[in-house]
Amino acid sequence: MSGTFVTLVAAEIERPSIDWHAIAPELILLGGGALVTVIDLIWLERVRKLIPTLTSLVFLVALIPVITLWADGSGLPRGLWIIDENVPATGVWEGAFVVDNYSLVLKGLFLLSAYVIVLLSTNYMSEGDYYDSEYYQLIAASVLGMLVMSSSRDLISIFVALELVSIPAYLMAAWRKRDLKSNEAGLKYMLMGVFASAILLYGMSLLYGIAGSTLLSDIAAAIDIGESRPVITLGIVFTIIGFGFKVSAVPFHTWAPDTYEGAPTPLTAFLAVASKAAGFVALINVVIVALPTQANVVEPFIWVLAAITMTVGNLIALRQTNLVRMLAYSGVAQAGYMLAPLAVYDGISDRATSAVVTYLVIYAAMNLGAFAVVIIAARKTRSAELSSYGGMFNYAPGLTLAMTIFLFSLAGIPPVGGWWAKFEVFRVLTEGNRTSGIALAVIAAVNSVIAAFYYLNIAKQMWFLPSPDGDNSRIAIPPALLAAVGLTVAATIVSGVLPGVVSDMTDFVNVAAGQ
Amino acid sequence: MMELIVFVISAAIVLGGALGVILFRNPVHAALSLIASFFGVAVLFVSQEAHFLALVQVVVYGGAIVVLFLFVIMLLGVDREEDITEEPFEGQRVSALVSGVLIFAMLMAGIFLSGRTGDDAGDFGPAAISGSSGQVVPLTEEQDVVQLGHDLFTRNILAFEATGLLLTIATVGAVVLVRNRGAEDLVVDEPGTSSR
Amino acid sequence: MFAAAAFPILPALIITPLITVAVLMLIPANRNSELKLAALVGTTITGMMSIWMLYAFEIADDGFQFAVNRVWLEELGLSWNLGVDGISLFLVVLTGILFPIAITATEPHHDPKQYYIWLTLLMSGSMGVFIALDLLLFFLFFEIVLVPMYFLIGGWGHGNRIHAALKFFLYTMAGSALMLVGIVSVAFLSQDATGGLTFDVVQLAEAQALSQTAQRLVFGSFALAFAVKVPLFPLHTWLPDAHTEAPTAGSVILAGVMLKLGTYGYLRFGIYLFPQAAHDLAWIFLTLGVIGIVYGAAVATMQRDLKRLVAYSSVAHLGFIALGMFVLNTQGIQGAVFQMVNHGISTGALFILVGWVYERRHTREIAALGGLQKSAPIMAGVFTLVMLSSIGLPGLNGFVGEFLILLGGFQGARWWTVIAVTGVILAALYLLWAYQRVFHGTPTEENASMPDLRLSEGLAILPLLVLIVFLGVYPKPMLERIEPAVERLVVHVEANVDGFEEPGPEQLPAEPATADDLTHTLEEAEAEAEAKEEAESLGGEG
Repeated sequence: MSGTFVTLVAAEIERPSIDWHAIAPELILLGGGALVTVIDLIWLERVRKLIPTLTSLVFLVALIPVITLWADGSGLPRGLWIIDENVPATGVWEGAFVVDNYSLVLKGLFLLSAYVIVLLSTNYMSEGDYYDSEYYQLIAASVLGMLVMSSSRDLISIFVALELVSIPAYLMAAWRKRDLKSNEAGLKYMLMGVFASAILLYGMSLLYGIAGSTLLSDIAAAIDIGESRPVITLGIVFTIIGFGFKVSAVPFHTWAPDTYEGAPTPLTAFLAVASKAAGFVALINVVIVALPTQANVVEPFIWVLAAITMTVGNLIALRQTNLVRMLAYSGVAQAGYMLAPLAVYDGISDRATSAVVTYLVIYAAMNLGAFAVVIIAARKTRSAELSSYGGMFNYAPGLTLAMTIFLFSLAGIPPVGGWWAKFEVFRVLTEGNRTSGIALAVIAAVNSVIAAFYYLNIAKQMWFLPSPDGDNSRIAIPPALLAAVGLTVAATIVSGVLPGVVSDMTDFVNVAAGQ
Repeated sequence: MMELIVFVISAAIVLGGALGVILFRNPVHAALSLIASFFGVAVLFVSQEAHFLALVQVVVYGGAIVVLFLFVIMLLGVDREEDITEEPFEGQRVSALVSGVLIFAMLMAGIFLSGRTGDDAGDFGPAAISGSSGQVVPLTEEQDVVQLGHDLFTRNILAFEATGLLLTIATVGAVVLVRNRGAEDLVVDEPGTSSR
Repeated sequence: MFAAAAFPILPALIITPLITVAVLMLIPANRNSELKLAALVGTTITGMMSIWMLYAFEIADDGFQFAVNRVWLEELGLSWNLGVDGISLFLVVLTGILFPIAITATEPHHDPKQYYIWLTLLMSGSMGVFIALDLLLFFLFFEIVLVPMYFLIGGWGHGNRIHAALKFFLYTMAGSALMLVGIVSVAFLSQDATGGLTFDVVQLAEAQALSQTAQRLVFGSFALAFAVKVPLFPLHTWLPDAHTEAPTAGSVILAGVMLKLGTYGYLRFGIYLFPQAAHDLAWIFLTLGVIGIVYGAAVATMQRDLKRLVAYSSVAHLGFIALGMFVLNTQGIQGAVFQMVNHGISTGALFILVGWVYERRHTREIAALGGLQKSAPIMAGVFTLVMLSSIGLPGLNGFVGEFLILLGGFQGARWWTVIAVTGVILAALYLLWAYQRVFHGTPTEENASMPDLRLSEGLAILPLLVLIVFLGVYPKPMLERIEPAVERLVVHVEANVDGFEEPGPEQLPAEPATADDLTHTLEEAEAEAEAKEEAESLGGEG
């Protein structure tokens, strides 16, 4: 009986050769993660100190094929299989996995963010006496999910990638398991995440039901009927709501502040930057590739989401006294700015994508930097309360300057990076000369002023107010954290002063559909 | 006609079981009514000629998962009655009701406003694009599993492998979180950002 | 065509202060005098370069001179597009003069290194705002100057400094955030007419591609940002706080240079880019300007704090400038530009003097001062001269500007101007009254022993005094440089607004002869006033 099975299957599959170069980043990450696990299992405590270094090396090595693929841009987009040696792009099962410039930029972003996250985690984890080797394996797995996500052009692989990103994150959020708040963080995140997945699946199943295929390009073809149908609308709305949870858009943001506050701070940075970016990537893939003809449904919905997300996020952030919570809500508001280009993507989907990706790249640099400073400061003050940042200029001028750069960048004040991100968003919003886009741009502009208020509040604390306990001893900054701050400061400044560096990469962005 | 009768009965079982899960006071009863719900879904799968899925639904969900639930409930000794009159969050029930009604209304609107174009493979739906995808093959009984396997190992191979990694990593993480290393009590004051 | 095309003078104006910042960073924080010297040398070199531009400037040329254009981001049409015309030339020179003076005249009370770094950074940014001809580049500098000023007020100010700094920052930011939307909109809406995306002001102004509604909306977003900066009533409320709480150097720069970012913005970007909208909505700005004149003067009269009084007098002066700009004729705009420079000189000097009084007496309360003339006669003399310039006494610079504005105003906006004239009288009222209370009378114990100006202080403020008298007596070199650019602006407005002709008496030729005519008229009027003024200032000193 089983013999028949084997022959049957073998007869039907003509397996073309695999394009190893195209999936090399994923494979390296997978293999490297497994290697780290094995090393950890064999030598246990003796190699404990090496694990973070090894993991960060894995991320950097995985970056190499990303760069070579980029350099070898002529063959893009390419898929998983090679049918004809001369034409790597065409294949039978391409849809699930596409490597193009867009996905390469994002893969680079995810790997570099992960590298910085590891730098941030090293001291935190070892000094807090947590299980660290598993922590790094979970990060590697989550990042692998992100890499797969950026190449996914198929509902199933998008969903699996999203879960691969999220499930390790649920676990890591509860990593400080002796702390009640961390438990709360993990549990809340998991419950909301699972709920969101259920809604997302429901929406996807409707889309699949309409198209009869999970491939995004097939869905796009199936729903291109010149009008909108309630079933299609339902599928779209549920799918976007599902992603709304992942990117913490209002009103689906309620998990974010508690989770951010309770989770280990490096992980918070991971959630706020990389995990959120992965959610955006999924959203872009679906909206741009599968729903180009449904703009009349998608645009109003995302418009409303973006407008209330930036407004509510900023208004609540104003009232926060804990810096991590403030950054959490500011992250919610920033998600609103990032959603904005997708509210006017009709006809200019490449520009909209480019604006979101630019924002993601710059946001990653400045927000990771801000979290790095929070982590460093907490080593001395043991607190993330805003008041504990008083007088920091007196005992850590360099750190204060770095934080100020990040804050001004988040507020969008030139010449540091954030202004360019905002400019790109405004550019897309006004480009079509549509009332809705310009109205959203005005809302975004008003919001950036509200945001400036609380960002400046932090700067004020650090520069002008005295230290609350009068303790002006210096902070010793471990090399890993110093490197993290240095990298992010450099990236933030460069992206603002020479925006061409970023836009040269993101201007190529054009999401290739699978076949 | 036959299909409609089967559908109505099993749908009633699915809904009744689901209601039971949230309304029963005793967790054991709730878990048992979950089995009923899963069973109803399995019948629906059969009526759609998805035999393999029906099998999986019964064996994995009805069998393994709910039995695990029961196992945990019994072991932890939480098989006492819960007080469900008290709301965990203020206004939780109202908001649950409101959003439930809203979603239901949306679905109903979606179904009825769409008309009946979908049922005989009308102007859109799977048939409309079967030419472009080439993947939609009418299933026969023998091919069910083969088709699934084929799909998993061809176009969904990456997702399939990723799922494998996902399960592994989830197990690792769960073990780490559950493992108790010496006398570890919950403390609120940890290095880091906690402040209250 | 360009006398100095060989040497990139404009980038040098931005870069020299930045080099100074780098030098300052290398000097140890406790070397107070070396830090001051370095900052002074750096800003003075920049100032010298700006003064040199006065000579190299082609008087008859109405276009942009010393132009530099380097592509920055090609696909966006972004460029390092710098240039100076008669409108911006004197603001650049003003910036170049005020910074070294502000540095010489005052001392920071703590952290000198940081203080000088912020101050020189501010100079670099201010220069950038006035010479940028690319909208986006302008926006960048417009925003960048906020940061050093925020830290200067917050770090070295008085009393409620942190609140004032925040208020200052947020008000300005609110305007400029909307302006960014406006900037991007105007660039995109003009994309077809300009043949590709560009932020070049000249190209955008020539294209005039916006529909009437779009033009009004975009002009509104610009106007709001500038109205906050000027500040026009009712958006002025940040100004008294910021001016009062800022350190002396901060107040000088704030009043002298940064308020001009708003008025300059109106001329270069508001009226130039959107002539139709500016013409249609001019009545709003005329009204707000006139309200500002009367309101600022009235509130200034009631102030108990000397520095606050000077701050409110700025509101009134800037009201005059707004009036002059939106009359939309040559005299009005010329007067407005002239008055911008005057205000920078006289209000800057007033703030320096108030700062010195505060350093000696540790109070700015008018009631607590009195009879200072006895203990500090030289200071009283200097104060008199500066005050009279601010009032607009004939023979001093303030008169020339106000006279031109009123002259233009009577031709274009008679009724507004009638009300505005009362502002001249009110200015005399509040300043003379304040002078009387602070300097006259019998000094109380502490006031009697207040030391007079030191030689170094006298030398620091001397350039401003010289300018006050020189520009009052012989404004021609300045007017003849301003005139062509203003003419060009007015012609541009005439060309682009249907049925609009420059308001003015028919017998007045529209040719550049006006500058000479005016100068002659002025000189006659001044001849008699001069003697009186000199007598007064001498009287003060003696």
